[in-house]
Amino acid sequence: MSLNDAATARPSARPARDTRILVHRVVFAALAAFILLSPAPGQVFGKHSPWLREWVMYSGVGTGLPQGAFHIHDAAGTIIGTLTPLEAMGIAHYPNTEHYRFEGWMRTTGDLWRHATAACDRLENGHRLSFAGRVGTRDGWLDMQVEDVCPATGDAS
Amino acid sequence: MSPLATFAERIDAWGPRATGSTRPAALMRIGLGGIALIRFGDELAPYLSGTVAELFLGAAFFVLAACTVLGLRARVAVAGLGGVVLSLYFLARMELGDPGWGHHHVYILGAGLMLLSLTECGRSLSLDRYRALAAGTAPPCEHGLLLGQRLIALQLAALYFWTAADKTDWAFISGQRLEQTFTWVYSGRALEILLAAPWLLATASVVVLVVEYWLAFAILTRRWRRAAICTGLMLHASFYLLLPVNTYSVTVMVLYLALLDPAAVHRFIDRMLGQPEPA
Repeated sequence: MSLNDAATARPSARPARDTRILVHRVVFAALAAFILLSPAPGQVFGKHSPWLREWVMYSGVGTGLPQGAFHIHDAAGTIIGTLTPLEAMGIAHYPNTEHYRFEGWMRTTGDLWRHATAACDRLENGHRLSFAGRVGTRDGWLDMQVEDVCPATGDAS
Repeated sequence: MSPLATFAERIDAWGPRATGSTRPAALMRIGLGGIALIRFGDELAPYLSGTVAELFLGAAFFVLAACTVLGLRARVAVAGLGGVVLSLYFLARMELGDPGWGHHHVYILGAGLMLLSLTECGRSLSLDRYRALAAGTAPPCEHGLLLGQRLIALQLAALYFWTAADKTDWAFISGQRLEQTFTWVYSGRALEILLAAPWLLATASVVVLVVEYWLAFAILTRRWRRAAICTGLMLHASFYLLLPVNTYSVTVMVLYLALLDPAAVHRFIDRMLGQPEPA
């Protein structure tokens, strides 16, 4: 005979068993409600909290990255070279993880220079770096044309 | 009986009152404990500790993870390990810990462990069971409440539903968000060729969205469960192979044990061990 059977057999054990089932029901209902509904404040109403997990995984990966061509112009404005976004950063590929700590990640459309610091550092006096392409945003691709990517010395802080 | 009362009775029988074999919970315990060790082992190792608090945190993690895998004081160990993992998660969310600890894979691992601690996960395949046998006392009955397993199933359903809801916009359906993701992951690598086929990315996006909405409900229904498990495992295997989300993928795959019929898992292990089927 199992413990459960034994509990069923003794009338005095009945209230304890009923209480246990009630506790299980309350625990189940509370946790089920939390599991099913806790993402709603952030994902439906925009009320974000570090205590409530939103299931939006990988939704920000790739945003803030440019796709297109960086052009190097000489003093006369003639294009003398073209770089891919990776070449402009001076890397072979983006790191495996930690997208949000990536130095080249653009926080706003105005800081494309973050992505091109390596190319800007290599630019000769009088030369200019431009960009033609698009940048990833949460709402899709955003077309982007920047005539002078590199900030004047001291502006990049 | 009204339809509402019938529905409530079915939920009651499926959730808080359900009982069954403890072997799937034991397999989850071993799997999640192993994943935790692999994920955090090189970050919480005592030799890396910079403070006494970090040293204690690391020591607690390794003791609890070892006890979880071995099944020593199993439920306490699983709850403790879940607590440590969730603590790491919330520390990161409050910008007090490593930012990598605040990711979804850490939360699902910690939540899975906490919910698993609501099951009798130490009654099977555990040192607790071995010690009882060695002492000559009756081993614990491999039967217990399934409440924790049912909550894990609900957690998986919620995960699929809300992640699909997050993807329900034109930017995702048109393939643009997947293209951005692949730009990050594949630029400068062999699979960069996928970026040259926007129609493929749009198709893949729609397939992922439909599958995730379907899984949110199908994993909870008897009729669709088998197909849902196969589809879900293929989905997570492809995530594992195509994106840097290996901890998340294997954690969810282990949690799929909560979707299986516990009696079927019990019989399968008996068959694998060459034990006779009950008459």
